[in-house]
Amino acid sequence: MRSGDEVLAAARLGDEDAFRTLYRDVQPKLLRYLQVLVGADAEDVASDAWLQMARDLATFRGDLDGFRGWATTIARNRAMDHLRRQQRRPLVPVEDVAERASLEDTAQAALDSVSTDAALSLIARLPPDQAEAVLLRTVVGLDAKSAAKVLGKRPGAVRTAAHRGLRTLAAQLDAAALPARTPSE
Amino acid sequence: MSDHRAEHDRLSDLLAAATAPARDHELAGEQAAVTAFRAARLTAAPQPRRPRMLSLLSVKIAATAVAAAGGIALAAAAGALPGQQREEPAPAADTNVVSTTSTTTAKNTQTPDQKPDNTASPSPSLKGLCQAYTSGAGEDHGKARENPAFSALITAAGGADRVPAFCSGLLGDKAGKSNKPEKPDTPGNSDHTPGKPTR
Repeated sequence: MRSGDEVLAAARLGDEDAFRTLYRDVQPKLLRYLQVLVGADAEDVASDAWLQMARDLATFRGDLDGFRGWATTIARNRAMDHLRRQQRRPLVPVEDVAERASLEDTAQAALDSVSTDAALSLIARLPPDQAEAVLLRTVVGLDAKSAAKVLGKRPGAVRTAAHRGLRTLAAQLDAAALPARTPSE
Repeated sequence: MSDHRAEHDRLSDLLAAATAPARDHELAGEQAAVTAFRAARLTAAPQPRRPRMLSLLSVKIAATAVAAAGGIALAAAAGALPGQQREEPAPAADTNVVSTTSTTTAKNTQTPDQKPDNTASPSPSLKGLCQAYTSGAGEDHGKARENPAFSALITAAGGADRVPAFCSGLLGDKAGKSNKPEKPDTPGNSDHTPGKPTR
C-alpha cells in the first residue's frame, strides 16, 4: 500500500494506476464542489479540469495536500470560465430564483433523506462566500490556508465564512426538525 | 443541553452526507481522464532536454500517417455505399504534402506490427483521444479544443471542426453507423432507444 505522496509521485512520472487513485480520491470532492458552483454542468466542467490536470500533472510540485488544492484551483478556474461563457454568476442556479421560498423544504429534504445531493442543495443556499468556504473545508477537505489560496482570500476570512456557514446550516436544520418552532419571519 | 446536542448531530449528519463515499456516476469520467493522461504522456517529450520542435514534429508526422490510414479505412467503408461519399477522407488532403500520396502511404502504414516507435504508437491513442473528446457528448468542446492533449487529434482530423466526424468514423467500426439511428423497420424492438439523456 503506497502512501498518498508516493501515489502522487508515481502519477507524476506517468503511472496510470496512480493517476486513477488520485482521480478516485479527488474527483468526487471536486464534482460536489462544482455541483454547487455550476449546477448540472458540473460533470462537464470536471472533465475539462481533468484534461488540464492530466496534461499538467508532470509539472506539479508539492505533496498530496498541495495536489488537492491545485486540483481544486483548476476546477474552480474552469467553473468560472464556464460561467463567464454562459454569462451566469456562480451559485445562483436559475431555478433557485423561482424557488427562493422553499428554503425550509430544502432543509427538510436534507434532514429527511440525508442524501449527498440534498446536503449539497442546502449548502448551495448559503451566501456564496460561505457556501464555498464550507465546501472547501468540509467536502474537499482543504485546510484554511489551502482553501484561502484557492479562493484568493485570507485564511481568517475563510475560517469566518466557513464558521458562519456551518452555524447557518445548523440553524436551518434545527428549524426544519422542529416545525412547531417556526422562525418568526 | 440536549437540544444543542441534537443540533450538532443534525449538522454532522448533513456533512457526513455531503462527504459520503463516491457514488458510481461520480467516477464516470475516470476512463476519459486516464485516456487524456495517457495522451498527454504520449505528446509530451519525456526528456525535458529534448527539443520541443522535434517531438511536435514526430507527433505531426505520426498523426498525418494515421489520418491517411483512417482516410483509407473510411474510404473502404464508404465504398459499400455507392456515391455516398463522406467528408472524412478530405482531412488527409488538407494536411499538406502527404495528401497526394495518401494511398501509398497508407499501404506502408498498414503493416502495423512494427516495433513501437513513435510513428506506430499514436494509432490506438487517437481512438482514446476520440473517446475522451466525445465523452462530454452534446456539450461544447471549446475547452477540449484548446487542450494541447488534443492537438494530435485535431491535426489528424484536419481541423477542430472535423474532429467529431473524424472520431465517429474512427470509433464507428464497433458501433456501426451511429449517425442517424433511423431504423424504420424494427417493430419488435425492445427499449433500444438510441437517444441519450441530455441532462
